[in-house]
Formats: sequence, C-alpha cells, structure tokens
Amino acid sequence: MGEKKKKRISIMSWIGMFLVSAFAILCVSPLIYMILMSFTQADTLYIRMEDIRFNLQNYGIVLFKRSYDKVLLNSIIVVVLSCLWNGLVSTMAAYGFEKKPVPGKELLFKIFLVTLMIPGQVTLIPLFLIMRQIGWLNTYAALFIPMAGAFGIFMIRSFMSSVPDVLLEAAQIDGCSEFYMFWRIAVPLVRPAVVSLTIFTFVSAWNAFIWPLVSTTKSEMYTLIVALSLLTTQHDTNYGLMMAGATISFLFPFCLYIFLQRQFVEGIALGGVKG
Amino acid sequence: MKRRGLALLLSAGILTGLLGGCGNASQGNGQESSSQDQGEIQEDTQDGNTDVASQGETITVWLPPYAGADAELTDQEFWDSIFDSFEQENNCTVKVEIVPWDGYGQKIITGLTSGEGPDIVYTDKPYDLIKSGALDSLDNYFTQEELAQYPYYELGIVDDSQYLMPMMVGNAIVLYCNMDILNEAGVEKVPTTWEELLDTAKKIKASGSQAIPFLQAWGRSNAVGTIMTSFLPYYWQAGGEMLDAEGKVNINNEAGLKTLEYLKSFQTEGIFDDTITSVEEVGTLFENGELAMIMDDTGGVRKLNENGIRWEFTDSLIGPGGQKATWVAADALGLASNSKNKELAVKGMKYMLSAPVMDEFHDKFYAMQPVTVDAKYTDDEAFKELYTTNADILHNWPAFENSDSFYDVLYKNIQSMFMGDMEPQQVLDDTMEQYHTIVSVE
Amino acid sequence: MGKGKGKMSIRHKRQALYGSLYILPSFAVIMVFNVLAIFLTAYFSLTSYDVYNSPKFIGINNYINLFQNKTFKAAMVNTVKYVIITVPIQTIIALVIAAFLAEKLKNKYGAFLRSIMFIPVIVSAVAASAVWKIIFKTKGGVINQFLELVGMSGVNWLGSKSMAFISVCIVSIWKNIGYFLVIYYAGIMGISQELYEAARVDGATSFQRFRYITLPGVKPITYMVLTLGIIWSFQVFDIVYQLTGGGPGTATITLAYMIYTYAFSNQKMGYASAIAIVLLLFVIAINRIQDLFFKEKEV
Repeated sequence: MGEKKKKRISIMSWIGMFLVSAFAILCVSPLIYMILMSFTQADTLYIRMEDIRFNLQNYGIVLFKRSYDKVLLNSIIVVVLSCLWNGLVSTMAAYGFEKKPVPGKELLFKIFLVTLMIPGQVTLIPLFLIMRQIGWLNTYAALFIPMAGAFGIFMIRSFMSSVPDVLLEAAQIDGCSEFYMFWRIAVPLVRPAVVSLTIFTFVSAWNAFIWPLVSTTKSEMYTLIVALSLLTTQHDTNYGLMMAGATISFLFPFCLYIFLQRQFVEGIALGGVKG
Repeated sequence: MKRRGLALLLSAGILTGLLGGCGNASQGNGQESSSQDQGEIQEDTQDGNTDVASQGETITVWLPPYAGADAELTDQEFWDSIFDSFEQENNCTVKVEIVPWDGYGQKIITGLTSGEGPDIVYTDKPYDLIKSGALDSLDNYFTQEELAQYPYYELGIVDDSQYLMPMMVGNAIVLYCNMDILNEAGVEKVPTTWEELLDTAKKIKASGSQAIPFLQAWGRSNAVGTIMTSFLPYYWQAGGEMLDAEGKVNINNEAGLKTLEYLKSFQTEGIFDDTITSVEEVGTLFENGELAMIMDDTGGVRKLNENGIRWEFTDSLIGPGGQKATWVAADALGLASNSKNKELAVKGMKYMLSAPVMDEFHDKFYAMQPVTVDAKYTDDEAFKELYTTNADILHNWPAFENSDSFYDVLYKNIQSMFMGDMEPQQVLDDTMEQYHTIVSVE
Repeated sequence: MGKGKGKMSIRHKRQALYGSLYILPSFAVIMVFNVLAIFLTAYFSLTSYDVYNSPKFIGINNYINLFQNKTFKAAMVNTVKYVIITVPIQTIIALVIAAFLAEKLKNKYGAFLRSIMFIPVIVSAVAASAVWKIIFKTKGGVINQFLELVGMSGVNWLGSKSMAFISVCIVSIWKNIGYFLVIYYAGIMGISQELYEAARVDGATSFQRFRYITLPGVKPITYMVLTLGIIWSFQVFDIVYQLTGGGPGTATITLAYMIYTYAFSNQKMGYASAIAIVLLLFVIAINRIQDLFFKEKEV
C-alpha cells in the first residue's frame, strides 16, 4: 500500500515537473525568438531557417548606422554613475541611521520608507520641471542622481545593524578618523548588501524608460532603451534590425545575471523591492 | 561638486522661480537665455558682420530621418558631409541631430523651452510653436528678391509674417494600384471616385485573388501617419473644411459623417475584417505585391520600381460632391527665437535650401519638389502634372491649436468605430468634445 | 563611561553631526525628488500650466474637468481592472511553482528552472514588448501561426478591445512572475523543515501541507508580493507605450500612460498633475484596504 502511494506521488510530481519545465520554456521562448529574428534579413514575420544567417550584419547596422554605439556608451556611463552614486549615498545613509545618534532619525527613516510607495509617474512632472529649471535636461546628472532612493538605505541598513558597535568604538578609541571607520570598517562588512544593491541599480538604471524618454531631447543623450523604443516604433519596420537592437539591450543585464546569479537571487530575497 | 549641486537644488531661489513660472510667452521661452544672453544676441545681430559674429560659433540643426532603416548612407552622415564646406567657409560648427519622427513635435517643444533645442527648427506643424513665441519671424532676414527665389515661400507665411521657409514640399498622398492584380480581377482602369474604389475592391475580393484588395493602417500606436493617408484626403474630397470661419477646427459636419460612413463601408462590405485595428504596415504589403490598392505618398515609388511592381495611380479620388483633394507635405525650416546666433542660423538655413544641397538630398534620399527656382525636378515624371497643373488639389496640415492631440483623439475614436463601439456620428461628437476638453484645460 | 557629562555631550553632538552629514545626500535626493515633488504635483494639479507660461491657479477645475473626461474614466477602469487581473494571477502562479520546486525539485534541475524563469525579469519592458508585439501579430505572428497549424482560427491579439487588454496583462505577468517566484522560494525554504516532517508523519497530503504550513508561513511575503505587485501594476507604462499606445480606442489606456501623454504630448502639466494625484490616492486606498484585510486575518 505504501508503495502504491509513493508511486502515485511520483507520477504527480512527474506531471508537475513537466508542467513547470514547460512553463520555463514558455518564459524564455520569446527571448529565443528575439535572438533568432535578429539574424534574419527579411522584413517578414515568418522565420524560416533559410532566412537565418549567422552573420552580424543587423548588429553592424544597428550599432554603427543607427548610432547605437553612442547610446550604448551613454547607457554604460549612466549605469556606472548610478551604481556608484546609489551605492555610496545609500551606504552612507544606512551607516548614519544605524550607527549615529541623529535626533529624530527613526521618524525620518519612516518617511523615507513611505516614499517607496510613491509611483514614479506621480513625481515625474515636478522632476522634469525641476531639472529643466536648473538646466539639467540632457545631462548625465539628470539621469543618475534620481536613481538614489530609500530602497538602497533600507536594504543596507539591515546589514549595517550586524556590524558590531564594539568594533567601531574600539577604532574610535584608537583614534581612527571618522572616514576610516566608515570606509575601512563598516563598508567591508556590508559588502554583500552593497553588491546586491549594485545589481539592482544596474538593472533598473539600464532598463529605465519613462524618465530618460522625458529628460533627454537630444539624440546624442538618449539611452539605449530610449533609442530602442524609437527604433521599434518607426513605420518602416525592419524586424531583423529591431530585434538586433532589442538583443543588444538584453545582452548586458543578461551577462551580469549569468555571472552574478547567486547575488541576484540573494538580493531579491533580502530586500525584495526593485525600481 | 555633488554637494554644490544639491545645495543648488535646495536653494529657495529655484523653488520660487519654479513656482513663479518658467519664462513667459512675451519673452519667448528660453529660460536659458537670460537677459545677459539676450544682450549678446542683440550685439551679434546689430554687428551685422557675420564673419566676426560666427567666429568659432556653433549652431544646431534638428532634422527627422529620411533614410531607410538599412540604408547605406544615413541622414547623419549625409548632413555632416553637406555642412563640411559651410563650416569651413564660415569658420563655425554645425551640429546636426537626427530626431526620430516618433514624438518629433514633442522633442522640439521640450528642447526649445528648456534652451536645449536647435537653432534651425525643422517642423511639419508649426502652429503651436509660433503661437508660443518659440519661432522668430524671418522677415528681416529675407529680402523680397530673395523670397522670389523660393516658389513655395507663401506656405511659410503665418499672420502676415514669414515664419518658415518650406523645405520638404511634395510627397502627396495618392491612390496607387497594382495593375497586375486589378487586371486579373477584370479591372482595366484605376478607380477615380469613391464608388469605383469600393467597387474595385469588391471585384478583387470576389475574383478570389490571393491579394488584399485595399487596406488602411488603423493599428499603429501613432495617429498622424494614418490620419494623413486615410482620413484627411477623404474628408477634403467630401467637401469638408478642417477650420471654421473663426479658424477653429471642426469636423462635426456632413463631410465628416460621409467620410466616416465611407470608411466604415469597407468593413461592412467585408473589404476590411476585424483585424483592421491591428494593421500597422501597409506600404510593405504593397511593395511586395500582396496588396492591390493603397493610399500612400509619392516618395515611395522608388521602392515600387525597384521591386518591379506594375503601378498606376490616381492623384485624388473624386468625392461624393465632385471634389478632388489630397494631402501634401510642406515641412519647413524656422528660426528658434532663443537662438544665440541668428545670423548664422539663417545663413545655414539658406545653405540647406540651396539648389545644390536639395538636389543632392532629393537624389540620394527622397524625391520631393524643388523648393528653389534653380533646383531640379527629381520626382517621378508621372507626378509632374499633379505638382504643377493640379497643384490646387493639394492641402497641407491645417493650422490649429494642439493639432496632434486632436488627431490622436480622432484616431482612437475611429478605431472604436471599427471595433463596433461607436457610430460615425458618435465619433464626431466625442472627438470634438474631447478636443475641447484638452484645449480648455491648458 | 563615567566621565564628565559635558564632554560626553560634545562627543554626542559631534557624532550626531557626522550622522547627519552621512544622511544628508540621501535626504536631499529623497526630499527634493520625492517629498517636495509630491507637494509640487499637488500644487500643479490646482493650476493651469502649459510649458510656456507660468502656472495659473484655477482651484479644483482640473479635477472637475477630469471626472467628465471619458478617456480618464476608461483609464481608471482599465488601471483597476489591470491590477485586479495581473496581481492575483502572478502571485498565485509564483507561489504554486515556488512551493512545487521547494518540495519536489530541490536539486540542480530545480535551480536551473528557477534561473530560467527569472530571465524575463531582467529584460527591459521596452525590448520585451517589441518582441511580444511581433509574436502577437494577427497576420503572421507566431502564436496565430501555431493556432492555425493545429486547426484553430487566429486571435486578433492587439486589434480587438478585450484581447489587446489581455495581451498587455500577459506580457506583464510574464515579466513579473520570476521575481515573485524567487521571493516565495526563499520564503518557503526559510520555513522550518521539521514542521513538514511532522506533518508527513501525521499523514498530511502535499496539498494539506501547502495549505496549513506553507501558506501561513509565507504570509508576510505574500503581503510584500501583493504590495509590490500592486504598485508596479499601477505604474504600468512601458508595456502599454510600446505594445499598444493605449489603443485600440481606449482599450489599454492606463492612468500612468495618460499622465505621460497629457504632460508631454499635450503640454498640459496641470491637468496631468491632477491625474497623478488621483493615481496616488488609488495606491494609498488600495494599500489601506490590503492592510485591513491582512490585519483581520491575523485576529
């Protein structure tokens, strides 16, 4: 009897496994389709194996004829600046909140957390008008400065609490400078959280759309995603080119994901908020 | 650096500035061009000596793309090389920016109001720009003798003032027919009236042809292209006027109703099926010989000839009232009122419009009408009559406030009509109502 | 420790000052771009403001106008419908798959499946929508080709009102599931294995274990997943912009999309701000309701 039951369960789990596997395939198939189409030359939707040529012609056109090389560089610069800026600012704030006797800090922290609930579109208009007022439209600053927010502080603060106070006090007694205590003691101890935050920032800065769309008016300042959206909405549609553009935009976060898969997953489990 | 930036952000001055208003209409709208800059501009213009004024100066030109997606030569490369000699001659730098058609008008407005815009403004719908003071009059920069060199200069006059110089004139919307398909269905000649178009479509469908008889692109996410090919020509052919006596847009009239009922009849007759609201590309279908008839621009013939399509055309159908009319492009160049280098910008403008430059453009990219008297006719010979003797049937975009929003509302409502959610009269009522809401809120 | 209080207090003050300096950059960014921005939005919503002229105070006229605007009504209905459809579906699928993987596939293959299902999360919505748009093509799209192959008629994915809406939902569910799956998986793995063992000994079926151990165990995670899902769904813009442009008709227009078009295509900053405030109120209201629901259950 016991054996029978076991067998039934194992049939059930085989079915489950099949279903989950099928679902996983369904998840990636649009992306496989995207990559295959990026190698076709025809402007029809039918992918025939003979239309697929594994040469980089579409990629060449997109990169060099459609100035994707420039927008790619913009995206890389914005992402790097965003990661550095958000990482630094959030770690500093987390340290301040957790380790310093700032009056009223818990209330302030609560206010910070509430801002996480605000949908981006609600603040989009004033953000645009402020940036226009100070002449920051079409600058990298406009694209990366607003990337800092409460989420990073929230994420790192929980790690910061595990940094032993004794360690910091000892350093202080030894006459270490304030900067040393932060940079040489606290930061190394919260590094895993900073890495996770950096991954988050990378993905959200790379994929950011509505803000770069609104705040860049010059084509030389477009990010990759803005350029992609413009490439794909033109009437004269060449699907091969379009998909090559989409694949380029996918490749960077994908490589990061391949190399840092564990940190990705840990980061989400840790904080659980993106964007 | 960081701290300074943030301190700057927080400074109360900015906030009061923001709340108090960002520039005002009378001053033009360049917040960037503070009074100091404006002083400089005046000095430059008074100086009159362009060689001194343009010493190492920079002007910016924004243009939409005309090259095909996979073309050998890109717009950027073309204009950069065109401006090489101009730059040397005037010891200046010309920055050419190719701005995609999608959201083009919006980018121009954002650019101009933030002081990040071009000096030479390419525009197809200048009304809002002129009303807001973003463009300067060109009256002082072109003499009467000079203007006489530009056959279409009158198209650039707004409120008795020369605001624009037409650059891309042509590309009229005509009805193309693939004669192989028509003949196969027993039709020998191109339809010339509304009834004939519908009849021909029905005959092709009845003949069991593989080809699609007639199609319009009501599935795009951007309204303007479809309004231009598939609404405005019919509306004008039905005898409609876009603007009433006071210059306000109004389509809620008999012509509007006739137009929509005519469009809908293609659906009730089974020429369009329910997927009409998902159709995006029609040009490609015609180029590939899969579509029998299409309303499209005259600039597209190059590709048709390349693909060996045996095409004939009619410049305009005759509407129920016996009227002929169709849409024509008259995109033009204007001068940004916050340009810091107006003399040089106008000089660049004249250079761009000059016969050698435009001839090369027409030759390399896109055939349009010659905009100076000494330029060549590069369009297909078939269209010569349309652009010369029949030119009175050609209409450009009507000029009224927030026109893009109007077209967007109209477009979405026509989609609803094809989906069976609205009757033609409802489309007209609702479009006007929504447009008035948009205009009234400011 | 027992030294003079004055000295202590100076040190304390200095520490407080250092702390403030550490917090200052974040404080500035959050205050300006979030807190101040909200107040500015609220202020602009009471004004008439195109980008050329300074804002003119017009009281609640924008709101009055808004509630007579048919497109706005459609956008509100669509936004709420969108939240109601996507949030439960993506939450349930993510939870069920996570529970299955945690119970049956704690091996390398399970890990592999998890990482595969996560990939849509890292694709930009713009690129994803561009691909889906081709897949959804009525004539020649992959799905319809497949349907025709098995003898069914093609679906008018982006051309009909209901299907266009469903298409937007499909893309966003597809994009979000991997994310919630990872959260749930981590949560389920955090539940004590002894509980499961004990239940097994008592002869509980896998459904019973799911119902009485897993589900209560991941409750705080469910709260977070729902909160996130709701906020994201309210913000849906990229997919709509890229896939349908709000159409056909007003079938897929959402509040977020409307804010963008009114502010940046029509240059009606004041009017768009009023829509933004309505959006904010919606988010707050739904969050309150959700809180009530979760608290009640706890009692």
